[in-house]
Amino acid sequence: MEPAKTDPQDHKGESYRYDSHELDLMDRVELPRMNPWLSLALLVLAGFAYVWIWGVLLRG
Amino acid sequence: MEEFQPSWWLIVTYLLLMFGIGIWAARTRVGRMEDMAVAGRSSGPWLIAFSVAATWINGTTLIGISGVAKDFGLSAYWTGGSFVLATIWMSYYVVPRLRATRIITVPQLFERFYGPRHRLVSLSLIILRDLGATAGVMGSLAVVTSSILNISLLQSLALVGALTLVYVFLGGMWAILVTDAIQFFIVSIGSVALVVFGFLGSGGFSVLQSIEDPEFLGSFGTGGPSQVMAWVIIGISITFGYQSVIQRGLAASSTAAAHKGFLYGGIISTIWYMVPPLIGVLGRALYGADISGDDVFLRMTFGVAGGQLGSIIIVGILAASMSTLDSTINTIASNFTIDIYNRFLNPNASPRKQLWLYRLNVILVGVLAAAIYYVFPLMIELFWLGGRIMGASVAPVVAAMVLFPRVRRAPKTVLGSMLAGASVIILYQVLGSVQEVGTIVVVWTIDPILIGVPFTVSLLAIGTWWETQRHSS
Repeated sequence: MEPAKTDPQDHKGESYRYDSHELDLMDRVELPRMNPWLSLALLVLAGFAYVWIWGVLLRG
Repeated sequence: MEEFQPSWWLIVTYLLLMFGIGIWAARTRVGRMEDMAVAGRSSGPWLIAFSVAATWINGTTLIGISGVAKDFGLSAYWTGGSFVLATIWMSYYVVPRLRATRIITVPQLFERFYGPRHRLVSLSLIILRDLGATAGVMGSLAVVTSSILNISLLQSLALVGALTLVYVFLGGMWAILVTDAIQFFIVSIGSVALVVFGFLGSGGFSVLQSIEDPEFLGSFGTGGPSQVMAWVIIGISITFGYQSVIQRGLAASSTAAAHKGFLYGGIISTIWYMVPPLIGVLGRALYGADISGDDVFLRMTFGVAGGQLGSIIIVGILAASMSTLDSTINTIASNFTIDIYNRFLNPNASPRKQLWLYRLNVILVGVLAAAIYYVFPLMIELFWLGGRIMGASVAPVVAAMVLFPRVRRAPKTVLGSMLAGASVIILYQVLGSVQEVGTIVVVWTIDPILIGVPFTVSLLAIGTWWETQRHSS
């Protein structure tokens, strides 16, 4: 059996709380430049385009 | 339907394969609880991708969405399409950041940022949703099985529960990832074949001319923009807090693998999600508007397909439902084990004890879900009942925690927003105005989620500003 990957944080127990500098641990991961809400809106628009194309196809 | 004779060898071969994968995973991959919950964080991008897709594709979507499409037309796409589009978005904005926290469950995230009270509240709301979803999927699987085997719903629930529980019990997330990938291909082949044969058997596109309503094939369908927007918002908000899917990202071997897995899985399922609406539209054209929503898929399967193809589709239904059921069962088992047992009951349990308790919880969750479906069998509404509550409470908070650092410093606002958002949905579910109670869904005058999400987001924004201003001054 392959050993599972572990991290020191995994061994801190279930009652572990982040200290003040760990609160921004997630911000070390960079996000895409595009505004997240704009990209979500564009994805939904792409979905509408997909449904519209199928509607056109089915109407013959 | 009585004339249909499924190919038993195909069904038995499929079930033996799932069982075999469970044994393989138990013998070679599972040694501790983390292997059961997140596959030891060692999975590659394609296994994640197919597993994400298989989790979004289930019996409820096949049977339920084709039934909804019979009444609402192509716009029924949004009852599932919004979930998978949100999955693509999460591959960029949410999953990479959640991986940085090294959590296994979402309630764990709440304790690390805010403490045990937040963990318990988020846990309750997540379990409420996930148990509803598990019960809904188990029910759709039981409906099909009882039709094929001509057995009672109770016997059917016991059978499908047992079949799924065996490999989850043995191999946990490892078995789920591998079986999901296989199940995805079976579902795709079966469902696409049903659409193709439906068109061929009914004389092509001309059959659709029998549908007189011009809105039926339009972007907003017969439900109109308000109904479609409700589906879009409910799908997006549920996905942000959908732990079964999030755990796929946590099971990846690296952040890049998690991102690619979610992206590919999201794209694959976005394309596939047009299949159930097409089945529903064809069903309406072939059998008329009076056919019951929950009969559309089965009538198409037994009527249009039949023979060997019908058997492949039946196996596809089994595969679709099992691939979602296994995931939600495993997720709730991880909550029971990590968030309740390890956290509050026995923090010093040995790794071996944790592993076996996890397996026992798998069985417990399966039995609970079957019991819930048996007493409350309204299929998709069951799926969405807990979903609305979670979608207006935990989900917007998780998205805000990931994207906005100030929210991570506003414990009172976060707790208040979750409780208030859930309360608004529950109150509206009880007091809100229902337009129509169908066989598959309840149609609301204004969907509860359209009230709940803006309320929670507003509360979160104002409360965070107020709470963090006060701290900084």
